[in-house]
Amino acid sequence: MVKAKTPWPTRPAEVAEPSGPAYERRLHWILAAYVAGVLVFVFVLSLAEQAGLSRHWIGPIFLFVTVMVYAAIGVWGRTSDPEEYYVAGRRIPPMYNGMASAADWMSAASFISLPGALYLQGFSGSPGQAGGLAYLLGWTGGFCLVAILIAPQLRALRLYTVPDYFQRRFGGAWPRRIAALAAVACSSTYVVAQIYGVGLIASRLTGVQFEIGIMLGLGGVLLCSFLGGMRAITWTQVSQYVVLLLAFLIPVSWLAWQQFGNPLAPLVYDAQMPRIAALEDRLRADPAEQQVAGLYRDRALGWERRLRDVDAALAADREAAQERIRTMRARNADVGEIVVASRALAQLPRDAHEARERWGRAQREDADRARALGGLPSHATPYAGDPDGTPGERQAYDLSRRNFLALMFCLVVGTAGLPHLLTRYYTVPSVSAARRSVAWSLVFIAVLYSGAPALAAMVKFEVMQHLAGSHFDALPDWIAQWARVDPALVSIEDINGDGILQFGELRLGADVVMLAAPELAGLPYVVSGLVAAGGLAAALSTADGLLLTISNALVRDLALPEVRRPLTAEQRVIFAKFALLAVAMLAAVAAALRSAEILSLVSASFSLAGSAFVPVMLLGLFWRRASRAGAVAGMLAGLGVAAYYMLAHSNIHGLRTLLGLAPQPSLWWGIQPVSAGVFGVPASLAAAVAVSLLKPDRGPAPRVA
Amino acid sequence: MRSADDLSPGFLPKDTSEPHSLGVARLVLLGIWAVASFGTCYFARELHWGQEGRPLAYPVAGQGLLILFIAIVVVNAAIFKNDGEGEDAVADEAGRGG
Repeated sequence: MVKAKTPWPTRPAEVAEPSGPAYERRLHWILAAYVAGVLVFVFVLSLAEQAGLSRHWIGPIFLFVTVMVYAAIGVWGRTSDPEEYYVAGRRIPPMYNGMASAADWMSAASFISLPGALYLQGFSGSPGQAGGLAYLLGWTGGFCLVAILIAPQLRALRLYTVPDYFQRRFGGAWPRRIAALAAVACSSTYVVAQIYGVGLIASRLTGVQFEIGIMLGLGGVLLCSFLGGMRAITWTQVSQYVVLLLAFLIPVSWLAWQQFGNPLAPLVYDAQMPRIAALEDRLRADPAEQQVAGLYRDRALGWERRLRDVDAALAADREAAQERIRTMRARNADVGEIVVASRALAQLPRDAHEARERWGRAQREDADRARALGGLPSHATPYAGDPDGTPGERQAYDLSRRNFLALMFCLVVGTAGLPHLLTRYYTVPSVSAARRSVAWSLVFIAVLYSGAPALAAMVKFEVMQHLAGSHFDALPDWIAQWARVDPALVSIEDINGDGILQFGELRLGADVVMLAAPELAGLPYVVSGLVAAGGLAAALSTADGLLLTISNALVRDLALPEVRRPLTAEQRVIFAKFALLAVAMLAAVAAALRSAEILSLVSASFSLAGSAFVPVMLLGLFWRRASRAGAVAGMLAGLGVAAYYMLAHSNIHGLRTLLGLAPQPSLWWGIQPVSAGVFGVPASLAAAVAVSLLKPDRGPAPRVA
Repeated sequence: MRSADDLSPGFLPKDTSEPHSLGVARLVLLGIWAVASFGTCYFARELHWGQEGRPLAYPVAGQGLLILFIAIVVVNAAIFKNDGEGEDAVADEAGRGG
């Protein structure tokens, strides 16, 4: 009755959707129905597949149906009420907010690439590239900081954005402005990577062009966040979590069932570890593997020779290719052959710069594969080198362990500082609900993350035990299929020409481990479609949260406080919506450039967020004397040090020369640039404390009765 | 009173004008967390189990620490069940009154 009187978009939240046990019971029913619906949908599609539905249709059906569901939730949740748009009316029950945070948190990278990264890097990665379990531990351990120190405290303040906090606590405009700029900086590279992921998965699912894939996915994101802000995003993220949970659990449990007769993969996979270690030892000693490694070593040396005189080598290549075409023409060769040869000529690097880049990459790849096990470290052994070995081995061990811990630290602190995650805990009804909600988030994330190391181990066992040593003409279909999609996903080559696949001859990309898991487990193609839809859900849910964060920082925290004209609350929300649209378009354009540089900057956002926000935020919360000047100094110092360290050591040559920095100064204590937060966080803390002591706020802190 | 658009500078709610004291319970939880996560990883190479000395680091870091993290946040939520609720109720009133 009340509903009928109030116009829907501006209705007061309390009237429309009461909170309390009845409301939660209703939500549980809706969730149960939704889960059942997804399962029935997958089941019906698998029946249709058995009845002869073509694979070309399954992908587009998944894409279309899931994006339509998300968009429908967006339309249902449309609102222009500020309280609803920014913080979903602050009445999301903790469990549902936990699900939404889990989807928000798990990006395309952690859904699709984490099992693959663990497959490739084992426990700790290589000395030059720490990784492996550091990602898993950093991305979950950070939630302890969020739960204990940050989320409930921020929730108690009834804020709307993260920069809001800096305004409230420190006053003045500058703490807020810097925080808003930092929020935009660390979220924007991240969102570009998500949209890139959306494009990649959508184009793989449907076979359309990458750019059209971006547009298809983006349509879903925009309908949702543009119309309904946080309110719509929350419920879409809940539904996306369900899709990505099922997409992960079904193939992983099935694989565990096949290998151990028990679907609970995280509990049983440990039995495989000694077997993997034994297989690794056997492969290292295998003469055929050593022969393959030797051939790659020769190839890497060849690239090195060419890189010594790029111009001459490139000219020789061109000359050779042209000569081949000439001789073909002279002997009236088949047209097809000539076309192939001309294409090879056209695909040669256009100039010396491109040649250097391409050959350098090829040289690194081949040098990697020239090492034992195709360059993969021992799966379960923590860190490279040997603590009891030669000085060189000892140093490698120290360096690898130091980088692992540094990366873990940065990811932990970054988790506690990334604004799109923190704002999620603004949406729960109370302070203690925020604490409970963080616990729920961690549970929902751990359900997937604890399966990732298990999946990596199971796939490694499968590949080492069954694939390695099989005949090239008896390889399973998925290898050829994924290799056709993108050679970076699967590269396979009989380099020693013995007709048998050596482990060193197969290189799996990080993404393919998750994407091909259903086929590896012998599941129908429908499950592969579900996994891709899960990846899409992970990318879309994170993109949603990030876009909202960026546009709110730009409009609410940067632009509107400077506008002198009085605006109504609705007008402000409309501004924020259009900023969101613009940011989404810009991000899509940036993603369409497919620049590897942008993608490599993503892991940097954790170091940036950690250095910019966390020390000053914690000081503000727990230290009475933290002052406005101290906050500004701390944030600038943290941002400055972290950004300098990353840029000065980045591989992006042009960027360094642009900034007038010396080419590759040596690393500080051997720490990789991705872990710049190790220096940024202490710098920020020191600057904030020192300046707060030197320049305290005048008078007692303003009080509110 | 307070609304989505109140950005008046210098506005400092009660909650921050009296900064939180960390308290023993929080420090203990943080201590357990820091020692367990970073300590385990620091000594990862030395973690072995059983007679044959099976390396334990991978499952401990991959599953064990996750369970510990969950335990820490659950204990945190249980200990501080009523912490901050009073202030929040006042703030809720204030927020809705506006």
